Amino acid sequence: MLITRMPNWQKAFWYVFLTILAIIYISPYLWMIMSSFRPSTEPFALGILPHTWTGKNYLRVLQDKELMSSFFNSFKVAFTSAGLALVLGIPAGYSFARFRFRGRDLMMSFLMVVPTFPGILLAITLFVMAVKLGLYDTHYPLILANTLINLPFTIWNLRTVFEAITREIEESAMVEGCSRLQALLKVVLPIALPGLASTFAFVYILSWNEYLFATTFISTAEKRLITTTMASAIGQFNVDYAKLIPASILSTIPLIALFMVIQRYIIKGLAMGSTKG
Amino acid sequence: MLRIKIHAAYWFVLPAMLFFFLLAIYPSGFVLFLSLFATGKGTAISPNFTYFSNFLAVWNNPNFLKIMRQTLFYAGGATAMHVCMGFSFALILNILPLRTGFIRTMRTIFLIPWAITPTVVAILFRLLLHPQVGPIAIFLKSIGASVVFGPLGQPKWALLAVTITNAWMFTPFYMLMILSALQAIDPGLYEAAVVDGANGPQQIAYITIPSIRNTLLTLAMFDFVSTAAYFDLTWIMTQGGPINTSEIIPTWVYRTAFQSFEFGRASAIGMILFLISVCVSIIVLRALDKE
Repeated sequence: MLITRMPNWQKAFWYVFLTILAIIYISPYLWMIMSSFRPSTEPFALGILPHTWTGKNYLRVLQDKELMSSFFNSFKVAFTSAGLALVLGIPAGYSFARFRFRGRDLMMSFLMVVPTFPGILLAITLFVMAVKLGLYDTHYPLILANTLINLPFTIWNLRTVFEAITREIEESAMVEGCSRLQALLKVVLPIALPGLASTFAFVYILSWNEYLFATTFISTAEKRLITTTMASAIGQFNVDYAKLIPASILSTIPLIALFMVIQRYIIKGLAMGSTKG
Repeated sequence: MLRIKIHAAYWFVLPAMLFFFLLAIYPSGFVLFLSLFATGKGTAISPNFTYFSNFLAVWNNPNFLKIMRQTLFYAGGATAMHVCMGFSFALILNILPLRTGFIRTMRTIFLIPWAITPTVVAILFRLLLHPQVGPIAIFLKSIGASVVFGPLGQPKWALLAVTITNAWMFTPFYMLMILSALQAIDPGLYEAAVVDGANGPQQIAYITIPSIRNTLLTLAMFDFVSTAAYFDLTWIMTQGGPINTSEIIPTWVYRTAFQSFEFGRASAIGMILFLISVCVSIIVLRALDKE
């Protein structure tokens, strides 16, 4: 059914139809982007789109201390979680890619089972553990939780990255006198850099987006992440839309751009779980 | 030689497995402990050997069946929409003889909703569906419609509104997964079918769907299980309200644990959800094994 021939007018129809469909599909978000330029004095009832356009709202977000510290906290947590996931995931992914050993299949199916454990149950136990260890209202349990839920994907994706690299490269390095670990660090990792960077970026995005743990483990306003700050802003009685909407755009646009760059490196790792079933 | 290799393999997986043990296996055991033995409020938990009292209390809660039904509606409805819409989009993108660059651009644009922070998606739909500031309500008012539009505040519509939001956000992911499965089908199968005189719909029914059946089933299972446990959208959009009508198990667990601080009770509700997830997974995996 791979249609190979089609008259030109039909092709033209599909080009137009798909473009319109795509625009309609993302129109809620486009509306949000346009609304972020609505002056704070203009009432919403005036129309669906702003009548006059202004960039002042963005300036207000950048000057808002609470929002800026939330952005920074999110950056800190997401960056550390992604780094930790790579540190733990690289050796494990490498091991699954290169060695056959007893328990390998068991461990790999364990990795597929981990994500079915409800996040809310994890939140309860980690909360109780954090309170007992005096780590409640710090970023540490948050970082550990983000690393934990993203580690299975990290390992799966890095495995496919390492499998794509030929064994001869590190074997020749080992003939020259490198140990296995040195060969991994000095020879394999530089070649795997695009795969490593996109895995890092994806875990960074997911940790930035995380809400449940962020709202469970943090109570002080200055320590909040951007997701929790925005979620509590929308719940208030008087919502400052002229600040909340541009803040939402600022926290999503960079990640969407990043995601578009890396998507082709992570599809294989994502699809792995569903096709290997 | 072989012995050394085995050692290296274990050393390399050790850090990750240790991490899993400390933060996944131990906590899941701890949750089981909480659900069976912990009663009362707060984190100063002392075991009371009351065994199934938490589970019995959940079972006897008058809202239990209602919330179960709502969770089933939410997860089942969202899964059905993800798979149907994802399959349709993927099929269109896969079969048309359009330029690869155009198809790739379309795929990327369709992926945007999935790349948006869930919190922002929730905020976005709260605005869209808002009875005063929302564009839909404003449009309805401008054409003189007399209906009150604000589904998130209406007991009848809140759950459906959240389900549709979920569908909007996650369909792109399933489109992507189904698309990569479609691309893996051997084109020779279609050519053979054309020779045999099969038309378009017949090719979809007899080649496309059977070829990706396993992927679809696995995806749907994974989807159902993860949506039933998905907390963010529902909590930020409705907090389970109005009057519990959009409450699902994860928001109920959250409420019980972090608003009433009944960790034992909350763990018991969560364990029920987890057991259901495991059962669904086993049933689907069995169905796949029969192939």
